[in-house]
Amino acid sequence: MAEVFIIGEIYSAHCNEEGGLACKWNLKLAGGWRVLEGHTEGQSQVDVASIFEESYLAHPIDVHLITKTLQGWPQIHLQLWQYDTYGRMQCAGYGSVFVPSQAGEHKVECPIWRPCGGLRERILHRFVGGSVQLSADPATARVPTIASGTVKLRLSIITRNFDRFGIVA
Amino acid sequence: MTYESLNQKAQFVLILNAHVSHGVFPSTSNVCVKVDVVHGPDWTVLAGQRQAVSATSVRSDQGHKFVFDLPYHLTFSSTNPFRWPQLVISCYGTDFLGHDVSQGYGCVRVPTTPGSHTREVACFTPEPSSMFQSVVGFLWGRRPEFVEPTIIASAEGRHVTRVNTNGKITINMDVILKDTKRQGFGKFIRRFV
Repeated sequence: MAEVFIIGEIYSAHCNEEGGLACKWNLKLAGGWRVLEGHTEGQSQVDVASIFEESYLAHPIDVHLITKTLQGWPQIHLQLWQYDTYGRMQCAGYGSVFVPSQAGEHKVECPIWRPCGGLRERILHRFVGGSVQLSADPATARVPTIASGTVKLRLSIITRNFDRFGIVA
Repeated sequence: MTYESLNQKAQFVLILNAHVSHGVFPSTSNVCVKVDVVHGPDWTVLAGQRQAVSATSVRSDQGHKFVFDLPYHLTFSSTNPFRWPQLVISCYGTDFLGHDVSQGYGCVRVPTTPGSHTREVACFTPEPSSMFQSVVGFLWGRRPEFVEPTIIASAEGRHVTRVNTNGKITINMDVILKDTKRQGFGKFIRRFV
């Protein structure tokens, strides 16, 4: 079977509003893909970033996947969390990227968005803090959202036995 | 061990020539750098020293730049790319009262593609858990630090740490790979731009 190694890190994050940032990630796999080694989810450290503009998360990603199919290529889902000056944690947004299929190194930049809610939620967010979150199984069609930041990932992809099955990626 | 006997065991070889060239630390007066390596269970170090320590670089009058000029050479062999090696960088220095304090920890992955690479590594220190702790730490020179710096190369338990980025270090890395094609790995060509 063909193998894919995802080796990389969540490098840094940037948010339009001030405060320390942390990032949660998980790898979404379709049927036919199996995890041989490594974790497919995690949460990074919080970087309060008082000197530089970006928060550096330096969170390693190591996954060894094996697959029978090329359908449902793995995707990384990100959730950005923000710590305000009072030590409160709020959801700063969501984002997702496909794991690159080409072997080699990739700098991946993932734009982050958050649901902005109605007028009441926007006023609350502005003056009190807190944010609107998605439910566990969100239907995001036509939900009002707002751009809130970026997460930078560095991903190295190593493929094995693709030649044997005639796969060009 | 000769390279011929390695081939029979379905191994590939990674040769790393790294050079910790310089760093930028805006709020530090002197920095000394220690490099260590963390890798998966299938990796072995064939040649080279796992740890290297640089000279202490003192702040110059021109800006925040500290030059380390620390060469770091390692040869690995492995059967499995899982948990590809990472370099862990710990920075130490003395504060204005002469206490030894940690100035930052950083982690960088050894490139998976052959060739010359330059990486910028963010170095961060753990934050004190309270205002009181930070005042006491400042006066007595007991800043929070990691007991085992290699923790920053692993993903477990990281969510409990709060850090502050103090500086950045630039590392040049030259990577040579051997026998990856024979082990069925795809071409290692595409690189960061």
